[in-house]
Amino acid sequence: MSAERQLIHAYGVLEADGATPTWPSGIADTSVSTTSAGKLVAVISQLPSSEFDPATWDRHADDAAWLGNVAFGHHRVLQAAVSVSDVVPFRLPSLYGDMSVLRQSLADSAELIDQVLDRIRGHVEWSIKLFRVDDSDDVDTETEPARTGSDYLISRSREKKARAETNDLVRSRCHEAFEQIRQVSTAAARNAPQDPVLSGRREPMVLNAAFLVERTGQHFFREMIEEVGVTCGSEDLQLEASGPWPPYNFAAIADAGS
Amino acid sequence: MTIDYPAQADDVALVDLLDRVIGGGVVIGGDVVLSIADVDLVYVGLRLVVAPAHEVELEGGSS
Repeated sequence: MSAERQLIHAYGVLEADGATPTWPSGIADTSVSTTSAGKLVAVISQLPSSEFDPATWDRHADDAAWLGNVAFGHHRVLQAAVSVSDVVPFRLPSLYGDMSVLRQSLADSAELIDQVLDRIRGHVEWSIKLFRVDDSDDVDTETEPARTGSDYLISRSREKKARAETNDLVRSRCHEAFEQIRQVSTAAARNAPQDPVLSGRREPMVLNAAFLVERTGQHFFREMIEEVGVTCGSEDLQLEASGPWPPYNFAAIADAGS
Repeated sequence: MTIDYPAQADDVALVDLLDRVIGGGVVIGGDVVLSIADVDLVYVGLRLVVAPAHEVELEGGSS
């Protein structure tokens, strides 16, 4: 067969004067290269159109293994980038028919990209989650059987009240932790907690937050999360931190100005 | 308390990754139409199947 049609996938953009890493392999083990576009450098791979056209994406819409591989390929490249310089991650997938379309799209979005760059320059992302480890939902389900109907109702209402109070307490602890960590961050975002089925953990997730942290100030950030983690631990909340990530949560337009 | 350093991309949980790479990032237009709605559908579909895949992975023991 003659040369197959290729699509361009853009992982993200860097500033032209920034450092570039040794690139790992990209999506579908393709080689990764850069192409300059004005003040920017786009990080790209060529993907065979037959394997990555819209119809193929549709076909794999509920294929965790396929999407997982593609997502890891995308992330691997951005993670390499963020380890040495500032990177504006593009959403997966960002496909273009050829280089001229990519260039045109970059030119059309120059202002947006500039705004995002201004926000994330010199920053990385950290993820903070809190899990509720006390499992208070099981409380009182096996207490003495109620003797009368009204006993039952009273004990049910007491349980309900206690649970509501615990939930309020957890909510305010989460808020406190979030605010404390926000103090050592440039920006913060709260996402919906992940369902236990998806997180793979039995304990309910009660906070799922992302923080934009100065690259050179990460030790302050880590000191703070260690302190918050200890306080939370004494409140039956387990803190889980991961980072540094590419600033995925702070690259969308909707976050501008927050 | 756990602190992870996902510089090793393979250690990242699939759901965390998808939350970010599909849920975040800059969208700039192109000619290959994978509309935002389509991608959201992909994601919704995935949320329904990722759980069993994840469990299988855990049971099999990760490498």
